[in-house]
Amino acid sequence: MITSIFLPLAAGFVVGMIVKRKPKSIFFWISLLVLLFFVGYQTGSAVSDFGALYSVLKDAVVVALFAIAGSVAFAVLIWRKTTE
Amino acid sequence: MILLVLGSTGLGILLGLIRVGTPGIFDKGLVWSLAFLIFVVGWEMGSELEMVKRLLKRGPRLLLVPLFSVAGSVVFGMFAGFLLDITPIQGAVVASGMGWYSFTGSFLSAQGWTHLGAVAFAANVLRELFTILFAPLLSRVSPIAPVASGGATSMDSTLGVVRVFSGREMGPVSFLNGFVTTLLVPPITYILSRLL
Repeated sequence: MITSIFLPLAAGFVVGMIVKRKPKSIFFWISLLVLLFFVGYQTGSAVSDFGALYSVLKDAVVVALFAIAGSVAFAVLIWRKTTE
Repeated sequence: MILLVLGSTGLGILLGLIRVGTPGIFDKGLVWSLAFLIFVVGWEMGSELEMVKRLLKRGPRLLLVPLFSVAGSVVFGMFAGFLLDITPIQGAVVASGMGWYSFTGSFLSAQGWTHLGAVAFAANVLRELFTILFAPLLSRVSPIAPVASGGATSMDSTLGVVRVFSGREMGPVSFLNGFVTTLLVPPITYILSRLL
């Protein structure tokens, strides 16, 4: 997994530093749409019924709200300490 | 574009539900498309390095915001795990996505954690949505709150709402926060996933 995550990130970073130009947005959108299709497929395979779908959504809502609360709490704390 | 995003995801979910095709092909497709998307994201970040260097001259303290923001997300994600059917570490992994749904969801699915991948995908899509919805309220707490809430998306999709509700001067801070967070998410999610 390291090679399929960090290697492309590093390779892309080096390319961007060299060419100093953003990639054409079509590359981003095509790769995003293809990826979302595959993520959707995996999600559909994992969620076999409405009970499982409810479980996924319930967990997702709670984690999303907690993650936002945690980020805000910690960031506001450090922001006030460093700017006041 | 939103319709295309919903259509692409919806088509995938539909095919997944009715089990069309060979799962092995879809697994490989997921890994390769993720690698290509990450390459494109890396390219975009590399091309913006000069802008980031200029922003950092305003003070390295700006780097503390994404570091604390990620730490807060992971810690509170663990707390969420105590309340749910997932473990605290699983909660932390999902929360470590920081709104980067296309990475976290697909990364976990590709690792074989399909249920957790689905939760991560939905949770990080919702994080972006909640940031847009709650930005007016969050900006009353502090101008940095919508930036922290946006996480990795604060450099692109939620940058607009940050500028509207926190003020134009928070735009560069928001961009830098998103840039650094996007760099932090893959290693942190990877390390936490090793604890699963």
